[in-house]
Amino acid sequence: MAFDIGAVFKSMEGAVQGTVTTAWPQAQAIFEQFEQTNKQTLADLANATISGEMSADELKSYLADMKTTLQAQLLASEVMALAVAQAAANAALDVFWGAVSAAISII
Amino acid sequence: MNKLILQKRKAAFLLLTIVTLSFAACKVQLISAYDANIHTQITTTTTNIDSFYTQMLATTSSRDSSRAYAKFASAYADIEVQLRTLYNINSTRAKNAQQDTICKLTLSQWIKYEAMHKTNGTLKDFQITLNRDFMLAKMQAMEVSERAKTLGVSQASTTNP
Repeated sequence: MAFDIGAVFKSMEGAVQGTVTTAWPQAQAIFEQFEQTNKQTLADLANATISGEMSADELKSYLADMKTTLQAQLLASEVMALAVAQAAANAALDVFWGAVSAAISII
Repeated sequence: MNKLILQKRKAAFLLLTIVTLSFAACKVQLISAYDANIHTQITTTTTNIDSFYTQMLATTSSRDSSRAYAKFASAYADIEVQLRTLYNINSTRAKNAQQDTICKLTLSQWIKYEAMHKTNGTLKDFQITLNRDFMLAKMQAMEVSERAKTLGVSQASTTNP
């Protein structure tokens, strides 16, 4: 049989799994970078508060900046997720069209 | 009769080939493509912001006029231009809503910190440290949102038949 849809789907699944598995450690490293950054920022914020240098209004203003920083990090994480989904979908499609092209050349 | 069947088969085969080739060229696109120039621009701006605050903290003091806003106004304007350029470039890219928002938040924060310096006339050490922390955190998110576009790309290409 020239075109085995079962085998093609299995290969597509493998391509998706391969892409996601390889991209995951890279994404994890980025999450760790964000975590380190937030730890440092919160430590500096705590030091300035404890030492009494910062007024209540200043603290409120910096907490608003922390909120937008977390928003920016979540948006960057969303880009990461979309990039992996895009790569996985394209890998699966490449496998599918490769199998179809091979079947056509056999016909 | 056989000739007619053969011709029909040939036409069907040709149609199938055309359909396959046209679909094979299609790619799923959920985000804008990676741009190495924009990535470089982001890292350059990050270095400039880091250098700006680190120099201010190391070479000036809030106890004298060395940290007066007027002495930094030009550098504030330079970095604001760099951030606005990044915002303008990113807002024109298709499927780039997330990065566009990050650039907008970063630019707004820079303008806020400049106003803080301008209004107070100077900055305390902890303000410089925190302004640097928050600006670099935003720039890191911006850099990641560009670099992330390469995630899984090499793996996808290796699966090509």
